[in-house]
Amino acid sequence: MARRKANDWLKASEIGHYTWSPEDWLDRRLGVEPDEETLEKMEAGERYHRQVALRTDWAVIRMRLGIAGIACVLLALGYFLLAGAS
Amino acid sequence: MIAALVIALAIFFAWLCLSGKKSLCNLGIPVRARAVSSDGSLFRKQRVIRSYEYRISGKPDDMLKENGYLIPVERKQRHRFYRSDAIQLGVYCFLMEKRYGQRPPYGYVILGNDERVKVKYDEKLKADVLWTIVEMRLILARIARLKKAAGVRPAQVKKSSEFRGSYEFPDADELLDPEEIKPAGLR
Repeated sequence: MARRKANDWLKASEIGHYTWSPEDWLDRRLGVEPDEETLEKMEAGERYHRQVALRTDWAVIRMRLGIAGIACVLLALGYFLLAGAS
Repeated sequence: MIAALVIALAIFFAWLCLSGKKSLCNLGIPVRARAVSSDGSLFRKQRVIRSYEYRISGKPDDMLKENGYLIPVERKQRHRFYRSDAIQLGVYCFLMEKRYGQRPPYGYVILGNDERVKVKYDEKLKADVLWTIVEMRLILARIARLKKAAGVRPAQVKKSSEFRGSYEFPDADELLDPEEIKPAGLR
């Protein structure tokens, strides 16, 4: 019963898949295994998403390090200026 | 000496910050946007959005915060934009509208060449999304009916008379039957 209920759910990717090719979506929904070429494309897609996520993470880290570094430099500058003045 | 070191450090950190921002722009993320969640990210976990009312779920590849709105992003490895991408993005917008109570005015499809396509989430796209869901629900209801009536196994459904030959879409009269389109849990 729980499995039947879970099958009622539609995923956004499935809806996109249906718009792309209704027959292909139906095959997948009925449990037909995708062919080799499709499996390779799916794996390539997963790899692509992981690569993009890593590139995004690295870019965000660089940006935040840069901001933190500038803040530290400004604080140090302020400290030296105040120490020099007093 | 100390002043030169401070200036060098400031230049280095500014370069680091700008290069990070530039990389984000090269990845198709707009300058003013902030990445909230990403598929495969180590820090910003991908969010699953569900609508229990419609029994649909989705995981946008990225979610951005831009101009005060949460914006869904769908990434595609290929270099061409298709209608199915717009529909998938429309589903994310629909789910976010239901889940967060704020309607995203648009979403982005970012292609493999880092080209960014802005898709407006208007009433037409919403209607297309809902219509597609209705079509799919009707097909699933047909399959369930076939399986129940004839004891047909899932793999045989496509070979059975209803699905033999060319794929036939349900006509408009059938689609307007509300009992047919409701998911089983809501009947």
